[in-house]
Amino acid sequence: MNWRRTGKEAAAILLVASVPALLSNLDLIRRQLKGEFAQSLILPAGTPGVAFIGLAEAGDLFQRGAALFVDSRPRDEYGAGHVPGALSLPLRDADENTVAVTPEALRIPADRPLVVYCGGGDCQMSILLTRLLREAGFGDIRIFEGGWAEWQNEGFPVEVGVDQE
Amino acid sequence: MTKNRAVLSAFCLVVGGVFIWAAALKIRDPLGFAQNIANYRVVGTALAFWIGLILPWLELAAGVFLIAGVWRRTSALLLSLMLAGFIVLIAVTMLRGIDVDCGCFGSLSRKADLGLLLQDAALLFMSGAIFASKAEPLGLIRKRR
Repeated sequence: MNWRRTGKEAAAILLVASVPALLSNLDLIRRQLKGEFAQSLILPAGTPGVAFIGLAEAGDLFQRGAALFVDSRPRDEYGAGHVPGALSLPLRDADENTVAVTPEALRIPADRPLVVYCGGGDCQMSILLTRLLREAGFGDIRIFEGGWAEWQNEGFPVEVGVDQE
Repeated sequence: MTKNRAVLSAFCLVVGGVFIWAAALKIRDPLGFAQNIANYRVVGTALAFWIGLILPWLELAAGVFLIAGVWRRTSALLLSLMLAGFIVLIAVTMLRGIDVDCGCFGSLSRKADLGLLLQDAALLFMSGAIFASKAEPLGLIRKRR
């Protein structure tokens, strides 16, 4: 096996692949360089009806009762502790159509502000659930990036148990 | 190592065909594929973006070259390395208990589970056999002797 020749051929294949990859995605590359995908790839900055918020704004919305919090974690994690009054809507159930996520099915007005959260950190569940909710017709969705970890660590109110109908 | 040219040709068609089809699905939605990569929580969003853009085209190129018989062994090596990486990634993800779609076939992707792992292992066996064999399969492009 001539490894030098193999290396050159591999580099050539990579070059052959890279040229069309870059040329066919110039717009995406431009948006990436502008930072549009810093927070999410499928819900980039400027997506209508979707915003990423921090703890301060989430806390303010909670205090004023101005938004419905939606917990995208599995049901057992929700039961162990969640934002008081939050709706449990596990991503897996929504993704597999076990639970319908339309405004009619959830009996929530489509224009009601929602704050979706998951575990926090590198958790992607809130982003993926937000995409489903947006496609279902909800028009004002905020993703609380810090998630349950930050909410709990900063001493915000906690509710335990699963007593939703 | 198999010296059976027909078997090698079949392996080239299967492995190359699977990768060409998978690549075509992912090229249609590079951001969706990049999000699948990010969901594995191994690389950050920025690196997932670039992998999502380039990897499908690399799969397409290697798959086409494999079937055409151009740089066959190098293409088989690249595909084998990709498959080995996918297998390790799926195994680690299963051990970490992360529930993700594999992202292998765009919107038609299945869950990253044991069945997928076995499927990739079978493809790795075939691509490895192609790489290791000294016999020439029936490529589309005849080499001058």
